[in-house]
Amino acid sequence: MPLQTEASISQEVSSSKFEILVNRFAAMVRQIGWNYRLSESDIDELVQDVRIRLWKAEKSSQLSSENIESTPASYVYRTATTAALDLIRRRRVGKADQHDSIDLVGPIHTPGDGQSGAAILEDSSTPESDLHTSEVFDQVSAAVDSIADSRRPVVRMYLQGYSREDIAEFLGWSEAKTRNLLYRGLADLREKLLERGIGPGGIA
Amino acid sequence: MKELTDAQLQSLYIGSVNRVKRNIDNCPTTEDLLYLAQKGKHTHDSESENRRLMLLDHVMGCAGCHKEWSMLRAVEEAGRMLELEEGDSPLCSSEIQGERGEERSNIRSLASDAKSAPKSSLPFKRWAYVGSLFAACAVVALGVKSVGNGWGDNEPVTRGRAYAIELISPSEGDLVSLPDSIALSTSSYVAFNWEPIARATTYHFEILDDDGRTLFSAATEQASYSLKVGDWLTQMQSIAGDSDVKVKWWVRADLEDGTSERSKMQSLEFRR
Repeated sequence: MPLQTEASISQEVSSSKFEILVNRFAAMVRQIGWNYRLSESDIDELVQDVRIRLWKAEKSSQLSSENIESTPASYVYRTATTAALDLIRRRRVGKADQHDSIDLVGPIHTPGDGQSGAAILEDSSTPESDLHTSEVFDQVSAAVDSIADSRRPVVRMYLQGYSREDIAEFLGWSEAKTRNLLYRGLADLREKLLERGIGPGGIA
Repeated sequence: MKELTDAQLQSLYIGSVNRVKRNIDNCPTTEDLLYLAQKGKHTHDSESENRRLMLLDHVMGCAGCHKEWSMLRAVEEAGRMLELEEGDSPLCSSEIQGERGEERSNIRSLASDAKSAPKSSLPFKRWAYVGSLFAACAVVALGVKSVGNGWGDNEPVTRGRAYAIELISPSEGDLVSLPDSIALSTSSYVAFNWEPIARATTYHFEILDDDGRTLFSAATEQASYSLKVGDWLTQMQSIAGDSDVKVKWWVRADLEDGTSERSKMQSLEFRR
């Protein structure tokens, strides 16, 4: 009996009653994944895994139960959650012995004021400047760590790019509480960075 | 007194987070990440809130966990939207504890946002900050030649809708030879071009590594971006030392009506 490839499995799932649901779910994940900056390859891998799981469930007649047929969207949702967890677990195991880091990620460019985060550091790369950059990032990390526990998660979330409104909504807090903790936390951070010689004029 | 802007703080923070070498032993379990991602699972007692804040503190300071959590959040939000649209109430109510009325209202709002305004105020917002800093600079043509399909051979089985933005150059699988000299590289650029589309207000240009991590991103109003080679060499050295680097690049456009369009991903190899 010939081996069933993932492509042929996908083909069969495409012909199943779950096709439309899975396609809609995939489109939603892609749309939302954009906001979360998920890579296309991650989303593709996840969606493909969901298809294969559904195909296998269908083959083993699990999907014929009345309960599942009456709640297909929930079944896809649960399947996707399990697939995502398994994907993360597999990657964790695979990367247990590896360093999962990049030294400089993303643009260190900033808006409007014409001065970028990179400009705070160095314009060109030399071993000395790389070391200097590394030290600055270590200082930033230490400064954030020293912010009060009550303020730090909000500050981290904001610095990761989430808006104040997103943070308040996610944490279930009032806008005033979120704003208060965030502004105090950012003020703390600026002060702690200045103490470490990191300010708008550069590195002391 | 002048102080570091929020954007500068964000840049410094992202840089510091991405430098941290991950020790998975110190990271939350996948179940913890799922707990944090599932909004309806949370209660409002102080113990639960403390646990959430501790988890959140770690996740927002750990690039690996943040990526994993983001995937779970995307699945969570998409799953809830799907349930809502399908009206899967029986399982939905047993699976997801929480204030159903408020929850459904939030989901409706979320579903509406995702359909109409993908450039929401989530992490992508910081893209909008990036100016077209180098756009006016002279572009020095670098040796670009095709080396075949490369990653294009592994086209995924499933795809979403068609891509509205067509990438022009560099082409799929192209090889870009970079100068050895940093001095030369500071005045050199690699030009990325794509077809402009109607009603686009901003184009977001991004370079990713093989794991989908963002190596470079910028925003521009033009249908092109000139990547400063000096900056890129710094990135390359930090990623791969003196080795060649395979990347993918793509473009997303914000449109006047608040929606967005995107290109497919295209592979590219930078060679030293």
